[in-house]
Amino acid sequence: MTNVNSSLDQLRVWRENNDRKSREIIEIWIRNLNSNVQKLGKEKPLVLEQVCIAALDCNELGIAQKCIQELYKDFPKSLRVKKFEAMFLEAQEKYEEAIEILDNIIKHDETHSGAKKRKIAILKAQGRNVEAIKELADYLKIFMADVEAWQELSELYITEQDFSKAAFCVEELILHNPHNHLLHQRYADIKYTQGGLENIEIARSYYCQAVKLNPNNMRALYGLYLATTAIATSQKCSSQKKKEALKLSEWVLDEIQSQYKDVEVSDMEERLGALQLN
Amino acid sequence: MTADLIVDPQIRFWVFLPIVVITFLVGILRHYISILLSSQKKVEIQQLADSQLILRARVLRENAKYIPKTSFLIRKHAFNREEEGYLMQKRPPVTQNMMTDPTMMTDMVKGNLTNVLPMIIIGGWINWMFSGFITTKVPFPLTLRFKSMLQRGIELSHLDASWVSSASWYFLNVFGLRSIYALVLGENNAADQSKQMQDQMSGAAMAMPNDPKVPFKAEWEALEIVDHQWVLTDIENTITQSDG
Amino acid sequence: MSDITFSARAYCKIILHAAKYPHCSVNGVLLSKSSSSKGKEIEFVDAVPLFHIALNLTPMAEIALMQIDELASQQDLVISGYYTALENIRDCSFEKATHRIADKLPSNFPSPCLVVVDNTKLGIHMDNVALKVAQFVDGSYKPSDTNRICLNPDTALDVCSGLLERSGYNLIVDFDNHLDNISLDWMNPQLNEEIDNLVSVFD
Repeated sequence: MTNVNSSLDQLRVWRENNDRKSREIIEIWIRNLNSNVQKLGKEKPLVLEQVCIAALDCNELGIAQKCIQELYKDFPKSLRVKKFEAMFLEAQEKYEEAIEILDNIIKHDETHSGAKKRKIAILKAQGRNVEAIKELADYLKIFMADVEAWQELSELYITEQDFSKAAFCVEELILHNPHNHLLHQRYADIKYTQGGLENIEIARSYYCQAVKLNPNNMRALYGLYLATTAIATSQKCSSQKKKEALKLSEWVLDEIQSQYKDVEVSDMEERLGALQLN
Repeated sequence: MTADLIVDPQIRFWVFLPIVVITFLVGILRHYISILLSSQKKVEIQQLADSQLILRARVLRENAKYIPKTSFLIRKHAFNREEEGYLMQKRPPVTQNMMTDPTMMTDMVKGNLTNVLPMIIIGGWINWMFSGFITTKVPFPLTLRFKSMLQRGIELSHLDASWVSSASWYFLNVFGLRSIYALVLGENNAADQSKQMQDQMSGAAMAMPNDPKVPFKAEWEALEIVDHQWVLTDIENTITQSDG
Repeated sequence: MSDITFSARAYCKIILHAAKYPHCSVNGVLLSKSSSSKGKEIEFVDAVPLFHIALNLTPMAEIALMQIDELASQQDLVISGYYTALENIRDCSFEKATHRIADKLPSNFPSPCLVVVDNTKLGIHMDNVALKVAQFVDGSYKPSDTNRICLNPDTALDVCSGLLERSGYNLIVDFDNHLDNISLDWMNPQLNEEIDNLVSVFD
């Protein structure tokens, strides 16, 4: 019994943190919970859902099926369980049948965002990225404040190398969550990738913001270094601007070096030396 | 003279406790019936889209300073364009009349069925069954004004106000068992009638047809007057200084 | 017949990197001896796993390549190939795999290779090489015949299976991991040792 309780506690922690620990979840399930389904208590449906998703992630279809059956026993008509059934079909690459179920869910409840997102995921699984982008954009016309969807769309645009649109999506994410340093850094990454002096200057500002929010963000520090050196060596810049950029790049290099001070990695000198050469 | 009044112990077993038990059980029963009857409120997709739109507009207004000026202007344009701007969309006037909308009617009937009806029936039955008993006494003196509250059904002008009649005891229970229900059934249970009562008070305001035009207009105005100040204008100098 | 040879280190790192992040695309670069840069014959002695998030963004790739180039040149190695494993399991086309790094490679090395992991062939026990290779000839990447690909030593497949069995994918560190925690080394000294041990066991 204590085993069950400690497993449940562990699963709860992962669930609340949104950790993707599928292999570990499946191990816990097989070890402690599989034979104790009735003892799960109040958390039973939540645990079953979590295990079901983990099982699909690890291609443990037997476990996933068992979870879905248990859920159906308790909630025979639930749309939420139906969605899992569709995901189960998806895992077997039976996309047509999965879409049929999802369409059914949407017919019952037009506002079921989960089912709509699954349909987009199927398009992505089939490698139809362009269609997925179109569907996702349509989805966002209705669910405008869905941060997750904006995030996914930005990543799709990055894979398709449509950086200006990806930047738009990340701007939207920044609006919803202005104090997340990762978003500022991602935005700067995109702007830097786009290239051009103007974009690189914007990238520099956002790398700065990311560093300000989290001084240990290595990507932002390195990015800031790249952006400032690019500005300092650009031909279109006024000498005043170049001087400022040079000063900033020196400051960043010091920061990077101090980050590595307490770390033992071989050939550190050379690795950082590579930066100064340029 | 009040000290002389002695209540028959039989009243404790046949009136005082039964009323507590009955009200408690009725509350539990009502909780489960309302779960059985409750229908999930359907949200119209248009309504949902509108609320998300307003949310997005508000976020844009509040956090505009974190994105570059051009990006802000693009968005403002999309929201506030003369024609076809998101916030300028025309919506068909909402004529959601309570009486014409069948789902609202059934919801109301169900609400009455689980709340008002049992209250009347049980209340009436208790009044008839246990009328005229003095059940208990509150352990502190009260002024005469409380007589009408605590001694419903007993019209004795000389009786001390701290005695409680059976009918009043019932009402005290109805309102007082709330925390016990919360304990037994969990928070937000349907047995909690006093909350339902509060809902009925504000019900008039909630039933107002939610016309998106008004909040749209408000958002539009607010967005129009936003003065975009990019917070990152001087970020380069601030970080070197703060750390250096 | 000119051959494209993968050392056990290079091959295992590619496969382990793909196995560590089954849910997203991964990429990295391949290193070969700079003295052998003549002709089409090429032997990849090592691989450096780069990224698993947002592959198409360039800033971190620039940083990584600068550092790799510096370290490689000291060991008399040169960046001569680019490998990737795509997110979608069915995808192993060269068109989707091309990347700015792959486009830049020819300026660094005369006939570099573009390597794509064939996801469908991956498994704990692999009988044949789960890679597809395209070599840069006459201005573009052209798919190479599978029998040109060989492993050195031949037991590299067994080494790789052995590593996968004991969850060796948890050992591999890519540049993204390094950026998240700079005490992790993307040169993977620990994994190198492990691979060398296994190679000597299978010999």
